[in-house]
Amino acid sequence: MLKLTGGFLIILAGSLLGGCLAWEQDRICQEMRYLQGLMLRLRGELWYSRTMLPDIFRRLAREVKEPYDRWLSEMADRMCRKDGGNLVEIWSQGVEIHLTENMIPEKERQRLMELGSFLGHADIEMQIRYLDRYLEEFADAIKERQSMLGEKKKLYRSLGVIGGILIAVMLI
Amino acid sequence: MIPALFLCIFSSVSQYNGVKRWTKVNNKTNNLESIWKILPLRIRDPLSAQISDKDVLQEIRLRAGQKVLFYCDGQEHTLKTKENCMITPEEVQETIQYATGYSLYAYEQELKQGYITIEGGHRIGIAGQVIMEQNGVRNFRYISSVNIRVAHQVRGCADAVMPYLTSQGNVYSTLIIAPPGCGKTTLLRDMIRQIANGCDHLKGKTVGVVDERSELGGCYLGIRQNDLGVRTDLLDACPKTDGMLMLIRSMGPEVIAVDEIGSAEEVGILRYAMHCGCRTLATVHGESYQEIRDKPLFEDFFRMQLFERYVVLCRGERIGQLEGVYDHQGTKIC
Repeated sequence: MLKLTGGFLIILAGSLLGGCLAWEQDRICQEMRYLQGLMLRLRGELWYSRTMLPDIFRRLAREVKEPYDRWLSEMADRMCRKDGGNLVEIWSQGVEIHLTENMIPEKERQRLMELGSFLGHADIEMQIRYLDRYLEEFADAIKERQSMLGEKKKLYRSLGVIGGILIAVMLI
Repeated sequence: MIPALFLCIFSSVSQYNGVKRWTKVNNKTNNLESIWKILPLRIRDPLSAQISDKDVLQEIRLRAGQKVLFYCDGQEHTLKTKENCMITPEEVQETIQYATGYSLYAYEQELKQGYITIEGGHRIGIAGQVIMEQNGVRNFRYISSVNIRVAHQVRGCADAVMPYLTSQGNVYSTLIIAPPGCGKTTLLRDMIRQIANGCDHLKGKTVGVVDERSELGGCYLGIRQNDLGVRTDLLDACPKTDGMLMLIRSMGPEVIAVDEIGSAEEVGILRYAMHCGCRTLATVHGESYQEIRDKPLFEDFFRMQLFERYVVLCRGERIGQLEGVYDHQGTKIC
């Protein structure tokens, strides 16, 4: 009886683990969509208001969730302090410090860091074109992830249950 | 007691002898911190240590491959540092980066004019290799020189001339004539301030200012950095021809002020403004009253006596030296 209960609990744990991993895939997609929305707003602010980047970052920081608000505020503060560092460094260091824990895949984080080298230049149209290209590639990445989302979730859940059964059988 | 009496007599004589020189440029009211923050990191401390009296700082010049030069009270100085005191091209870029808030695109129009205005109304002149397009300068390919001019509003510099420019609570339409660098913009700014705030000679009036080159108001992010008075409406970075019409149609100014009129179109709009009943303050480049009088461009102004006063500044030991004030017939009254 005890063995059966133990086995049941192991299978349950395995299923829950599989469920958590499946839920994480959902979260990653949601986080990517949120970042996409943030970048779209940045594009809009750049194109229409043409104000300075620190002002745009501060404005966006008031309206977004963590950790993006901290990322944007910290970049704006550093730019206003004028104590060294070019925009590429400020942007990429900000991404490294604030956006490591937010479930964005590493590949997308690297792509976001590279975006910093295209901002702040004199040619606003060039910047918008790069932002548009970034947004297109990001949208493709989201689409690809979403197309595989259903299968991945099933896979994780199945693996969780099967793994639990396997361990339970081995122990029993 | 006796020295104080002597001082009173001396100051009152110097005010009314027709040659009024402005007092020493005083930067106490100006925010120099905004200038310090845009300098390359390497030179901030050495420069700050070398300038003993920052109140008289007028310009800092950074040129790639050259030493740092700065000007205090008309005197040129060189920055002395322990290490290499030559400015590198990267440090010039660093200055531009700080001045534009890492957002060069936001200063596209200013760059076409060759300058950027920063917080405090200080102006940064730019030189280097330009990119041309059909209509003129499009942008800068390489920026090699930067000239940081400290904004200096001299409150009270119009005190000596205001009594001659007002009568029975009204302002005369006035043309300020001066060679470049003699202080006509500084004088105009203080006249605007006194007219807008009111002074001993008249009540405050609504003044409309068209500040095409952002020199009068020194606007930064839309906020004027210089004091133009409480009743002044400012159109910043707006062409004079469009701006004067906009002000007349929408802001109901009693006085309109513009800086450096020089084209037939601007003269035409100015004439229209005067016919609309606005008193007008304007400046023009010139060495003397006679030189402007002889110019065909201003023939109508003199023929119709549209300007009632002419204030002429001349080159002298100090900026703002007054040559004389003339009435509408060209008679020198001061």
